[in-house]
Formats: sequence, structure tokens, C-alpha cells
Amino acid sequence: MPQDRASAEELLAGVEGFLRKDVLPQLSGASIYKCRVAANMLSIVQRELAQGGAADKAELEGLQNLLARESDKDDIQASLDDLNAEFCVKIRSGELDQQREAVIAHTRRTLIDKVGIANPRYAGLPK
Amino acid sequence: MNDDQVANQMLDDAQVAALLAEEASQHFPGAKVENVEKMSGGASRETWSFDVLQPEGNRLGLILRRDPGNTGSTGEEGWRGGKTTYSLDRTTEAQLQRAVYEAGGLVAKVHFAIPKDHALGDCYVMDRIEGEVLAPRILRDDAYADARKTMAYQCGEILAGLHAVDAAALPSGLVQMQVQELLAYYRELMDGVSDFYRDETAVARPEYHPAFELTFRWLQQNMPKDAPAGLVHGDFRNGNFVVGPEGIRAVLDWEIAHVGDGMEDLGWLCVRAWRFGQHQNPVGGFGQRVDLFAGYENAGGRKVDPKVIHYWEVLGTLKWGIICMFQAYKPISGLVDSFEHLAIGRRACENEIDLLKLIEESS
Repeated sequence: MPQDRASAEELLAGVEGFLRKDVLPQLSGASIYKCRVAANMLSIVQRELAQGGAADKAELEGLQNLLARESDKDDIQASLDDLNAEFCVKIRSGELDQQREAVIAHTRRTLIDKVGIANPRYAGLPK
Repeated sequence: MNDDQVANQMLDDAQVAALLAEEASQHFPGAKVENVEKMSGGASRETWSFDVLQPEGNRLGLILRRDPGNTGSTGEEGWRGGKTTYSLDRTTEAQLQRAVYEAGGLVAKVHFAIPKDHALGDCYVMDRIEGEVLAPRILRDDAYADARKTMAYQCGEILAGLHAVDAAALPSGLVQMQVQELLAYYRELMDGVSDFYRDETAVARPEYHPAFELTFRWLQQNMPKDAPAGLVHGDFRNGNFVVGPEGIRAVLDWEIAHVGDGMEDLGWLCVRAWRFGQHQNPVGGFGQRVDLFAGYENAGGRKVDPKVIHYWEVLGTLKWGIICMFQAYKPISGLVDSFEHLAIGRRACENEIDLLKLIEESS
């Protein structure tokens, strides 16, 4: 059932703006830091809503190529769990040692998307 | 939770201050206790500052370090009730600080320790060393410009000294944590947090960290040859130094000290997280590796192999990434009530990006 406006994104942006513009200037001491953290958390969720779907799809495609199979799970989160579990076990056991370059390339792509949501200003992101 | 901890939990600040004043006046007969004050700082430990005015007129500035006992620990030892921990209790930490002090190390002198069964709980009192502790100030304020020039070399000297402390002088509570034990410890912590998310949270999914897996594999395949075992501080980095304009005055926070490979301390000091944005200075945000290594070797430390330090920097970055996961686990599992820890979980992936770069550089 589609919800009426404001959308989830709009609600979050509204609260974030309130925290940054109205609440923050009135605070002092440790609350300033906490209020910034709270506003940053709302930014993370907004980026996740905007970019998470595409990131999940790209990750799934990468895993399918590396592991040469598709998951039989019916939703994308369950499929990602299924394939990531196998991916991690195979890295650990050394079964993917021969595909090291492809493994690292996929992992790096996935992490760039992940950090792009969690903290796009991270200076360690490859340019 | 035992009765001591329950008693401990119920102390408010005024009670702690009163008990502390009573203990201190017993230890320094005839002295007056003044300026008892709770300092801000670490969440897992309480630090109290106070003065002792002795009958002959001299004044001692002192610090009490104690476990607050109200949140459970916020260190890794809080995980699953401390099943696999290598962090020290306050009594052992005080013994260790004494041993390092007697060996000439740069550490605050311990005056007395209070045993677990005391109403104050496990805690100890040491000299208050004046200076700056906050890493961003040490890295940016003009007052420390000269200190920054010499700190990398000085860190090398300090580490050479503490790695050489006679093993016979160390408290028996120190755990052996060589590289294999450390890897097993952090593997267990990572898997434990992930299993908890899968089995005991509404989201019911584990976490997957392929870059951590790749790093564990790399660490197994590139392990340094057996190293001589000695005292390792375990958390030797900016933030645990008391600094004055002339340099480091004291090294704080000995709670994850252990017996292992001293190169761990040099590598940890080079981990990206401790640079606080000053990446042109890979050693703690203030210096260069060559100076750290020169200080270490010139003060009698064994020859430093940069490859071994790189190995420990990789392990340290992995360790920090897993600690980020664990920070989010604390409020999610109810171990602490602190919403801001939740956000730190989302920083684990920054370490994963760094790790890919670090393990690529060397293969």
C-alpha cells in the first residue's frame, strides 16, 4: 500500500534539517557531538534508501559471476546472504585463491558502494 | 553478577568521592584530601582527579582509575561475559604499571591499589601527570609543534625500553598473545558478533566481510617468523599519551598489555585510524616510519624489518575494523545504552577498503 506524502526520504530529510538548523545551535557540551552523530545517522539512512537497491543488484551480479551460480532464494537480501556465505567460506578455505584478482575487484566494487552510503567523504575511498 | 559488583553499581559520585577521600587519608596519614573531581574521558573506565596535601606542606596530584561497574565493561571483554579476554583487571594493571615504572619506563607511579572486595571495587591510585591527552589537539595545536617533530623517534625509544622489561618482573596475570592467538581472538570476536546478529536480533542476518576474510587469509600466509616474546603494550598510540610541549611524558592505559611480539606495538602505531586525518605522517599522525625505527634500534631494540611492521599494520587495521563491528554490537545487544556507538558499526567498511589496499601493496 503506497503511503501518502511525505515519503520516508522526505520525513528523514525533514528531521535531519531540524536537528542541524534548529537543535544544534542551541546545544552545548557533549550534546553537540551527539546531535551531529544523530543527524549523520539520518543522512546514512537517506543514502541507503536512495542507493542501496542499485548497490545490492550490482553485488548480487558480481557474486553470481564469481561463484558461477544463482541463488534459489526468492528475495534479493536472502540471495545475497546465501551467496555471500559461500563466498566467505571459499575465501577462507583458499578455494578462491586462483581467482584472486576477480575476488578483490568484486570486493572493492562492493565496498566502494558500501562506503558511498556509510561515509562518502571517507578520504580512503579510491578516486 | 556477584555482590561486589552490585554494591559497586550503586555508588553515586558523592559516595565514590567520600570513599576515595577516606582511603587516601589512610594511605597518606595526616594528609588532607582536596579537589576530588570526576574527569571526563573513557567510557569503560572512570578517572578521578584529586590532591593530597601532606602535613609537611607538599601537595601531590593524583588519579584514581576504576571500573564504573554500571554498564558492564565497554571493552571487548564485555563480549559474551568475557569468555575469551586478554584485558587486565585493575589489580594486574597496577602491578604492571609498577613493574614498568621500576624498569625506568615512562609511566605514572602507582601509589596504592584497592582490591576487588573493597566498596570502591578494583581500582588504583597513581600520580597525575599534567599534559594533553586529546590526540587532535596534540596533532594540531601550535603548543605541540616541537613535540610532534620528535615524537616518532621518542615512541621508538619508549617501545624499545618497555619491550626489554625483564619477563620475571611482569605480573603473572599477563596472557601470552602471539600472532596466532591474536588472530584466533579476533576471528572469534568477529564470528561471535555476526552469529549474535543472525540468532538473536530481529534482522536475523549475519554480517559478511569478504575483505576481512581476505585479510585473515593473507595474515595466515604471510606470518612473520617466530619472534622473541616480551611485554607488549597493546594500545600504544596517540590518545594514550600524555604530551607536553617537549614530547611524551607518560604512556596510559595498560589494560590490554600482554606477552607477545613487540613489533605489534610499532605496527599498531602506524594504523590509519590513529593519524586523525594527518596521512602525510603515517606514525600516529605526527611522524615518519624511519624515525620510529631509528629510535627503536638506537635505544637497544632489535632490528626493525619494515615488512614485519607492515604485517602488524595489516593485523592492526583488521583488529580496528572488528572493534568497529563490536562497538555497534554493544548497544544492539544491550551491553551499553549509547546510541552513538551504533554509527561506529558503519565504519567497519572503511577499514575493509584500507585492508584491500594494504594487502595488494605487498603481493
